[in-house]
Amino acid sequence: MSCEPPAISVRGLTKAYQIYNKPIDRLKQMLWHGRKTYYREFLAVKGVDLDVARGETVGIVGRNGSGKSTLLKMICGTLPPTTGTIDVRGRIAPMLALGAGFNAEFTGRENVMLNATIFGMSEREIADCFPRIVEFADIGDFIDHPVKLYSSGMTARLAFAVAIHLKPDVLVIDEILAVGDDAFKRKCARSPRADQGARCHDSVCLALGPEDH
Amino acid sequence: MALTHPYATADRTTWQIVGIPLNPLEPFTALWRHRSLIRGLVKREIQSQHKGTLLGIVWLVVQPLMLLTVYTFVFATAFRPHVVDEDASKATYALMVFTGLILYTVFAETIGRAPRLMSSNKTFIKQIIFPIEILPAVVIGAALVKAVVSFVLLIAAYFIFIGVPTVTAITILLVVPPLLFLTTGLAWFISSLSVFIRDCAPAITVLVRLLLFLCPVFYSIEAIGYPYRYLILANPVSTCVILSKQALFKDQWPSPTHVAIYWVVSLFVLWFGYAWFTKTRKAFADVM
Ligand SMILES: Nc1ncnc2c1ncn2[C@@H]1O[C@H](COP(=O)(O)OP(=O)(O)O)[C@@H](O)[C@H]1O
Ligand SMILES: [Mg+2]
Repeated sequence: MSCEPPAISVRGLTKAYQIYNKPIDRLKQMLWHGRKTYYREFLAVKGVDLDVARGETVGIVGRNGSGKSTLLKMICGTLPPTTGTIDVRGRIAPMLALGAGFNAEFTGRENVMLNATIFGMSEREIADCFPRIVEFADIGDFIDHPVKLYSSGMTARLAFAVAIHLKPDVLVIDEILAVGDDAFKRKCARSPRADQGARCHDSVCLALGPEDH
Repeated sequence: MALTHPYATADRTTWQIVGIPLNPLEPFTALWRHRSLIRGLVKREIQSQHKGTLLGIVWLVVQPLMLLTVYTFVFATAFRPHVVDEDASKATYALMVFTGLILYTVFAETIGRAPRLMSSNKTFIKQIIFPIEILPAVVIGAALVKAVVSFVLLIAAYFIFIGVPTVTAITILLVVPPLLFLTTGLAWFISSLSVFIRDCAPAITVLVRLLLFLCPVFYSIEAIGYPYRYLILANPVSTCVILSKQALFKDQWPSPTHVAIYWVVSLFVLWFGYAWFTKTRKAFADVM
């Protein structure tokens, strides 16, 4: 039993979406500081406690609309929670939607560069891992074609290839692998730890350990 | 520099740290932190503007060169409004117009893009972890690169038509930064406000056109009597255009008080825009 703190630690996490009729109501709500309420609430996630240790994989299973994507967005930091705390140790690579962070007009190659820069990699680091990303994605000449010409499976291949080669500490995948073909899923299965993600076809948090890189 | 949560401290993240930046240096440190990302995105932004064209990146030089030729021709030969500088020669007048336009274009391109800046980058806001506060800086960065190319051409034309610039020309370096601060601050404010008030987009389109005529680009400020002159001076671009034209073409040093006021006001606008943006950004996802 190690006393290392968990990679992801979530406590009492609740998300009540605020539904506004008009965008300006959101601004009024902010300026009036809650003296008046302009929204309806929708409770999507209620009281979640979750620990994911380093090296552990957690799949989140549930019916449509049960709040899986909402939970993952909060863990990634793209959606602020209503109450509760999230502690994440290290860098997160989020794969929350197909083609997120890709610019459809640019080629696969340019998008890899863009994503790696956004993730905070230096030009040297990018140059180092670029050939491995291309090899893993295995989409042939399309790497030099605009992403808008890709099939969903190809987009997923490229996105996944980028995400795992960025060497994140935590990898969050929402549904994206479901569009890959069997060959790609087998390939993901050979890539350390990502195998569980490929099998679940749905929302997954992978907290990658040092042996995974 | 790793990107974790928007409000992360080092590599440990807690959502409880949410505050307004009271430190006036905050806008600068925020942009400095992401300088390599900004540089990469500016490059991409410029590339994407010429994507699919035959000349490609060559347009970066050809476009201002064509404009300079057209302006010089139109203003030096055919057309000359009666409110121009009395003592300016024709070529000087044409280059003065070009100077004003270079500066105004930096403002107009950035502010014109601001209303749709957030909605056109929706995936950056909702699906990935991205420092969206750098987006206005990317737009102004791309506009600035183009302005520098135009400026080099302007100086070349200056040598040909007028001669060697006077020493006062270096004060350009003192009056242009406030224009950049003002523009970035306004872009932060407008891009955030437009998320909540969609009417900003059409209003800004009109305003950007209007402000060109309320700016001493085609005329000199001395040709305008009071009280209208106040209206022109209220335009954020005017001070920069007036002082730049004086420094480049009239051999005049800028008045230190004017420069000081311009710096103070623009730094305040920069800080206010940033503070407003940081305060409101967490609400973007609720309405997009
Ligand atoms: N931006 C939003 N505003 C209001 N309600 C939302 C929003 N996003 C999701 N919801 C609601 O929250 C619930 C959970 O959604 P989600 O997390 O996407 O479910 P899933 O488990 O299928 O991924 C759904 O009922 C959905 O309608
Ligand atoms: Mg979902």
